[in-house]
Amino acid sequence: MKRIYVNEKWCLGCHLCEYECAFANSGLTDIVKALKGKPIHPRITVEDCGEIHFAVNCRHCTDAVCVRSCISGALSKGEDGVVRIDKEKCVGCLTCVLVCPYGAVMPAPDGHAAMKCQLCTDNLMGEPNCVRHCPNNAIVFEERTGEGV
Amino acid sequence: MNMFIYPEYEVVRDENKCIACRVCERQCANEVHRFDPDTGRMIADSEKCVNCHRCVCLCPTHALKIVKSDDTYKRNANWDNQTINEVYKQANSGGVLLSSMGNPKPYPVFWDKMLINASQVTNPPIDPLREPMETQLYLGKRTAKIERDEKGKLKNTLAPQLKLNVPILFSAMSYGSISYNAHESLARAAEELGTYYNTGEGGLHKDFYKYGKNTIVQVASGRFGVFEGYLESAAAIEIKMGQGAKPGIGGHLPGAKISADVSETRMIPQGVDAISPAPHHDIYSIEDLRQLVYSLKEATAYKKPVIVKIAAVHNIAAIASGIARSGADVIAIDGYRGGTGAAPTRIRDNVGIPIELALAEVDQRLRDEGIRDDVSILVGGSIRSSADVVKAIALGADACYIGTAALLALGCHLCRTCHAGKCNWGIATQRPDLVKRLNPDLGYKRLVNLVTAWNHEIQEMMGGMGINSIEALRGNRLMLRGLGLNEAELKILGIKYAGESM
Amino acid sequence: MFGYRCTLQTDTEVITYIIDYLVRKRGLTLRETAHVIAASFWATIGQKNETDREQETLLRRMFPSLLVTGPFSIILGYEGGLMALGDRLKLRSTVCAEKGDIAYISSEESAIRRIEPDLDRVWSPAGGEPVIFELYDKEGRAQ
Repeated sequence: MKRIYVNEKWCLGCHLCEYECAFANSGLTDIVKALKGKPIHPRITVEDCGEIHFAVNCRHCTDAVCVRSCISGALSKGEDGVVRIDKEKCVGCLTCVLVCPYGAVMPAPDGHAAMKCQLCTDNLMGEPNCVRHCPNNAIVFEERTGEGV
Repeated sequence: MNMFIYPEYEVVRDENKCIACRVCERQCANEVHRFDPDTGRMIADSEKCVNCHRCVCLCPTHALKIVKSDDTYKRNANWDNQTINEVYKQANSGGVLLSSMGNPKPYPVFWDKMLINASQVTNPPIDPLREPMETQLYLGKRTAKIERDEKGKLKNTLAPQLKLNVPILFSAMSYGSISYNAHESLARAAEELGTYYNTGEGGLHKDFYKYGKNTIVQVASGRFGVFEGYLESAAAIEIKMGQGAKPGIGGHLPGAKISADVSETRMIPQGVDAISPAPHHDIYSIEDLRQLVYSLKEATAYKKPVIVKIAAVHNIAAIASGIARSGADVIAIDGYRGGTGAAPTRIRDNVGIPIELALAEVDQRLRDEGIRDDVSILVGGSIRSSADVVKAIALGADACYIGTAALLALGCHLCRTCHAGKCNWGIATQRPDLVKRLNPDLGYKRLVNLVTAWNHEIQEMMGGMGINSIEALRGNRLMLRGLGLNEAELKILGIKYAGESM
Repeated sequence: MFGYRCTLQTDTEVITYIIDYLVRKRGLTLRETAHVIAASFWATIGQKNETDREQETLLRRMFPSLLVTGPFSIILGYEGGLMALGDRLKLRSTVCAEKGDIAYISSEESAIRRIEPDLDRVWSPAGGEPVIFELYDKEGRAQ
C-alpha cells in the first residue's frame, strides 16, 4: 500500500506539515479561519534534536498493535491497509495511545476519543496534505515493496 | 558611531492572516522573525532582511510580503538613496562594497530591443508538433581536411566536439560558491537533458565524477582542484581567463566557506581564504594562452575540446580572434550582467560591456577573418529566456550558458546576498542546515523542466521562422530587427531596423 | 566568410556558391554535397546503416552552417550531368522521369507529361534525396 515516508535527510524542521495537517482535519476551507488563535492538534509531529528533524505519523503497520489492543473495536485496518478509528465506537480509554511504539496515536482535543493519521482519507484533501505541502520533498506518499511495517 | 541606515526593504505581516506558526522564524538564517510570547505575535526586524523571500514562499497563510521602503532622503536626481547609503556604509566601515549576482543597474538590455522574424507566404512556417525541429548541435572546431579512405569514404578528421541536445549549458559555478546539493542538481539535470554543467574553478567533488560525460571542468588562475584525474573525468576543459561580473579581477572565497569537503575538492587547506589571482601568472599573451591550451590537450591526449572563457570587454573582437588562433575549440564570452558569488560592487556595476554587442562584434570579426569555423562561440552573462537564446544564436552564438536562470529554477530569489554565505534557499551556502534545504531530487527536476520548456519555445520560434535546425539559425541576423536602437548600435549588432526590408 | 559575395541576394545564388565551395574547393562528391545542403534529420540519420550514418553525421558536423532549411527545389547542371535536389522537408516538389535515354526533371509532373506523355518511369524523390543523371559513367561510355 501507499504509505507516508519521511526522509530525515531532507526534513528541515519547519513544522509546516503540522499546520497543514491541522488545517486538513479542521473541516474548514480557510486556513486562517481554521488555525488563527487556536492551539493546533496535528496528527503528524516533527521531532527536533539539534540539526536532526523528523516528522512522525502513523505507519499503518501491517500488524497494527493499536488495532489489536483496542478494547472497543473502534480501531480497524481497512482493505486498503489504512488503520482508521471510529470515533463513535471509541470509549476514550487511550490504550492505543499507550501501545503505539511511534507515538503516532494521540488523544483528540475533545478528550473523549483518540485520533490518528488516516492519510487524509477522512477529509476533503484527497491526498495527504502534509506530503503536498512539504517544501523539500522530505515527506513522500508512495508504494515501497518489502517495507511493510 | 555607525550612521543608521533605514532598511531598503520592509517585512510586512498581515496580522489578520498570521497564525504564529513560526515557520518564518525557523526558515530565516538572518534571524529576521521572532515570536513574542508576551503578545503571542510574530515580530520582524527588517534591518536584517535581505529580501530573499524564503519566508514569503513558505508562509502557509501568505501573511507575509516584502515591500520597498518608502523612507526617502530629500529627492535628488543625482544622489539617489542607494548612492547616499553606500557612502554612509563606506564611511561606517572603510571597506570595499561587496555584491553578488549580476549587475542590476538600469543599463539598456539589447535583447529587449531586438525582434524575431516569422515566415509569411513566401517561406512557410513549420509546425514543430508535426515536423522535426532540431535543437541538437555540436560545439568545437568544424574545420577539417577532407581525407578519404581506400573505399573513398570520408575519414573523421574532426577535432573532438561536444554534442548538445539543447543549445543551453549551465555556466560555471564553483563548489564553494554554491552548495553540494546545487551542484548535484546541475549535474543530474545536465545528464538528463543531454547537455553540460561546469564545475567552475572549485574542483570537482569526488561524488560527481560519475557525471563526467556531462561535465565541463574549469582551469582558472587559482588552479584549484586541477590534476590529471580531474581533466580526464570531464567532457571538456574550460580555461577561465575572466568572468563577466568582475572582469580584470580574481576571486576570493573566504576561509569560512572552505569546509572540509570544499578543502578536499579544491585541494587547499581548510579554513584558509582561497585567492584566485586576477591573471593567470603564466599567461600574459595569446602565445602563452596557446601553451596552456596545448598543455591541457596534451594532458588529455587531444580527446577533449578546450574552451577559453573571457569577460566581454572593450577590445573583445581582437581578443577573440587571438583566442581562435590559440588552438582553443570554443570561446565562451561572459557579458557584464553575468552573475557571481561575490564581487566588488563598483567592478560588477561598471566594468565590461553587454554580451549582445560583444557577441555580434566577435562573430563578425571571426567571419571577416575567415576563422569562424575554427571555434564555436558560447555566450552567457544574462540569458534570461528562450527568446534571449534565439536572439543570441541569430546574432552568431552556437549555444548559451545559463547561470542565474538556473539558480532561479533552484529557488534563488536574486536577493544578491550570496557573499554573506547564509543563503536561505540552500544554494550559495556551505552551512549544512541550509544546504539541506535544496533537495536535489526536486532541484534537478526543476532545472530539467526549465530547459525543456525553453527548448519547446525555441522550437516554436524556429518553426515560425521556417528554420528547422538550430545550426541553420546561427548567425542569421536577417532574422532580427532592431527597435529603439541608434545607428551605432545597429551597426555593431549587424541588424536592420524594424520595418526595413532586405 | 567563405569568400563569396552575394549580389543577387537569392537562395539560388547562395546554393550555387555552396555547391562551388563544397565540390570545387573542398572536394566533396555531389551526393555528399546534397547531404550537407539538404541534410537528413538526425532522427533519420540514426536509422541508417552504419556507414551512411557515420558519413552523414560527419558531414553535418563539418558543415552545419551550410544546411539550407527553407523551401527549394534545384537542378544543378554540370559537365556531363544533372542533379535534382529538393529541400529536406519537401516543401517544394521535385518530379523526375525517364523515357529511353532522356531524363526529365520538373516541379510538376504535368509539365513533363506536356513534353512526353508516354513515360517509362516517373517518380517523386524524397526531400533531400539527390537524383543524379549522368551522360557518361566513370569509364566515359554513354549510359
